[in-house]
Amino acid sequence: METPNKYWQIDAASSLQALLDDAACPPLLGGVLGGLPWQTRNEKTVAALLRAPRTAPLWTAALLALGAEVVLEDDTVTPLASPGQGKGQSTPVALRLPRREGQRWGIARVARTPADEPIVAAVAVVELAEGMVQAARLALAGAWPEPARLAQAAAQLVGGPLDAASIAATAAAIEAEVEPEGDWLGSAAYRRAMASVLARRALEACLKEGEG
Amino acid sequence: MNGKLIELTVNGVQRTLEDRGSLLDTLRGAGYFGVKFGCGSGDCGACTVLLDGQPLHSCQVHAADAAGRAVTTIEGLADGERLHPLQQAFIEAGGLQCGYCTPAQILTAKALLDRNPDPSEAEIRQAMSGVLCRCTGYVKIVQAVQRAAALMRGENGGPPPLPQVITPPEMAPLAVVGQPKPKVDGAKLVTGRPAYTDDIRLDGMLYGALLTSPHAHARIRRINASRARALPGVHAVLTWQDIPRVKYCSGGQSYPQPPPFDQVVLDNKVRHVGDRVAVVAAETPEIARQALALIEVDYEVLEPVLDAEAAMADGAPVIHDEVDTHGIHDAARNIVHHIDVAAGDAAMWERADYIFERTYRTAQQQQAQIEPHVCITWWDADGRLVVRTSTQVPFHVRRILAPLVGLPVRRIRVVKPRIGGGFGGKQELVLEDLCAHLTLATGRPVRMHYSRRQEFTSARSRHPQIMRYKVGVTKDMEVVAMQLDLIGDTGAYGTHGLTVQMVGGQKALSLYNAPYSRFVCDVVYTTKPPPGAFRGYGAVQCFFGLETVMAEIADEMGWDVVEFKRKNWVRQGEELRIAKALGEGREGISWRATCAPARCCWCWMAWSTSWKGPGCCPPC
Repeated sequence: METPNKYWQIDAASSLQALLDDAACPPLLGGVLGGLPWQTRNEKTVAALLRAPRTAPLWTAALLALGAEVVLEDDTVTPLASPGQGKGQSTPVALRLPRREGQRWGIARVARTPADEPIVAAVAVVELAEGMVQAARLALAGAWPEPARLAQAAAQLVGGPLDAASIAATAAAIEAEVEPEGDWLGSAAYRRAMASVLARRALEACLKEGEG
Repeated sequence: MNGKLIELTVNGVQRTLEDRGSLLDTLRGAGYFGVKFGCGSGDCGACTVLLDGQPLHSCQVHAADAAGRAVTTIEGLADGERLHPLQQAFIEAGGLQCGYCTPAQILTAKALLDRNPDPSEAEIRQAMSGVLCRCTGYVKIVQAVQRAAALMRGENGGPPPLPQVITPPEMAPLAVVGQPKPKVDGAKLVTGRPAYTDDIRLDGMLYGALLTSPHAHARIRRINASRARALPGVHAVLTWQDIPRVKYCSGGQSYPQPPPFDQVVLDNKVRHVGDRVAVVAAETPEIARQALALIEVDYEVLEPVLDAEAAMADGAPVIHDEVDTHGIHDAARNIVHHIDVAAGDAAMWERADYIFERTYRTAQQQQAQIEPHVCITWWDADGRLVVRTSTQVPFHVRRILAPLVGLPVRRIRVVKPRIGGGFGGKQELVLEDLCAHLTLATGRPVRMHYSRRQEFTSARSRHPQIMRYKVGVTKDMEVVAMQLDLIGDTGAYGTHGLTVQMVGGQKALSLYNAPYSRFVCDVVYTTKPPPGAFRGYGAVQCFFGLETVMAEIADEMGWDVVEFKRKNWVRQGEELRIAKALGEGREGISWRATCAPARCCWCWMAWSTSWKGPGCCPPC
């Protein structure tokens, strides 16, 4: 695993278990990978999940919240702005995760069982400097057909403090931004409501991390 | 099978194996039957093996990707007769029941202990989370791993944590009964010896495959199997045109079976997604699947009925419009059975100070046993049809199967090996008739099994129910009258529909055993996969409703819910009035059901099944 100073680079051919075993694996990603069955971590590679982001939605949401970038075969680097990266284009050869100071993270999910894939999940990563939010990335699974990053709601946080008021305002804005599709696990209305609730909880976890 | 060979090391031995696609199929094809098929999608974990020491789902790995690598299966763990500490601990701790997932559990635990000799309980649970167990509930599995870890670290593992047995206090201690004992067949299961239906391969065995309906309700206008029959390697293709139309009921219940006999082996009408359309027998599973794709079916798609209440409404599509099914209470309204039974004095309602009415619904639920339905049939040297099948009801299977294949029961031998979970889902004739017909058609041994998808669409499940409870209570917390109006959704076929709902009503109205109780029930056809037996057999759903209504009454009245229940629950020696009225035991002979006017339940059953019966009612 390459670990340059500014980012942690992961070979796309690596198994998920290899990532988990790497001491440099960010705790947020480690927590998500640890929730997958061991067998699955041994079978699946980073490249396989980049091609099929729906198979591990929480992993994809975590990458989006961490601001992951994809290194393609032709050495170009592109943000993992939307899942499905690699489909029909140059093959991904590596994944990059930026290393940033002052990062806090939080995850909130709702699932039928603790071991199940989430019906809806929110992953928040917030960068703070002197109490003010420098950057915020909020990704949701189950609120669109594929996991995706929230552009507008998270932007509201930047430039201000991370507190109960700013979190409430961000969570309230989320319902308008998401476009869930209902299925047997949850209706569109349920997913929309939970997207807001879980985003608030994920951001509150970021706040709590600072307090702890 | 692609004809290629791969070289790999299996359990320390260099092997050259025929590549059968997945590592799972390749290993099982080579006789490593300790590797189990459960889902084929990497969800259940039953197929776990160690590849270079790491656990993975062998169904998700191409055999070619394992070439040159070291595979460990459960067969490689024991040293001759000496079990691996994990195998021994699983027996000693009672960490297995059906044993189907046990090889995968043990292999995963081995990989864990190789990495971490002293794992915490949380670490064990996390590591083992990729292997599902539907029997043990995991506690004993965790204890087994903890015990093995301690022994492997050289510590004294203490006394084996065998399951505790709770016996009545008045029972004198006995040597065996009431004592915790290790499973007598534990060693067989922890070493992965061939114990299950699919753990044999017969010379000349063909592979059966089932074409199922994509529609919930349709009539087959035309079916053309000529292209499938012409495919090299195909030995038989059977459709409704090839099999005698013999009416039966697939529910595995004691003779005489409750009517209606509303099924045939293959029909020209399909009544749920996953219903049977055609079967194929071929040299390989791949050819059988190709043949299914070549069968042309022209469906006249009919309106589906997916809700039990809608099915009873005027103008609803009639699901069983055939003329040769007898014993349906009201076929035009899709009502298979109607029951209206009361016990006690209806005037008890007058004694009630308060009457509560509540409605509850439960959903359809699959047994999800890890071993799917699987069956192998062949002719033995004595001209008997041998049916080796994963069933809970071998004698019922033989009796039900006999008329379908036109053989007397003495020429059918049903072998029930150990099953990898059933939970009621195997209390039914499911695949045996299809497999047998393919053996009849080809003269060859035939193997059929359900995919995990087919388990959900073509096997059985728990009946969805709508329960309306009406409960009369006095201000002194006494339940004086109770009525349950039950709608049981039996899907496309009757199977266990009558008996499951009857058990539901009997249990629900006995637990608090009100002086007056009434059970009104409609068992209703819908165009959904037919439910069948499932742990609890109707009691589970009705108890959910019953205990909820009791809790809601207590809550509304401001009573302590435990005190309320304690005051009313049935006591030892009390007569179960509604059970008697429903016909439990001989008392039921005199019960007059409204399911068939002016005929008692037994005479009605006798009329429907050509049984002599008690003869107490007027002839039809």
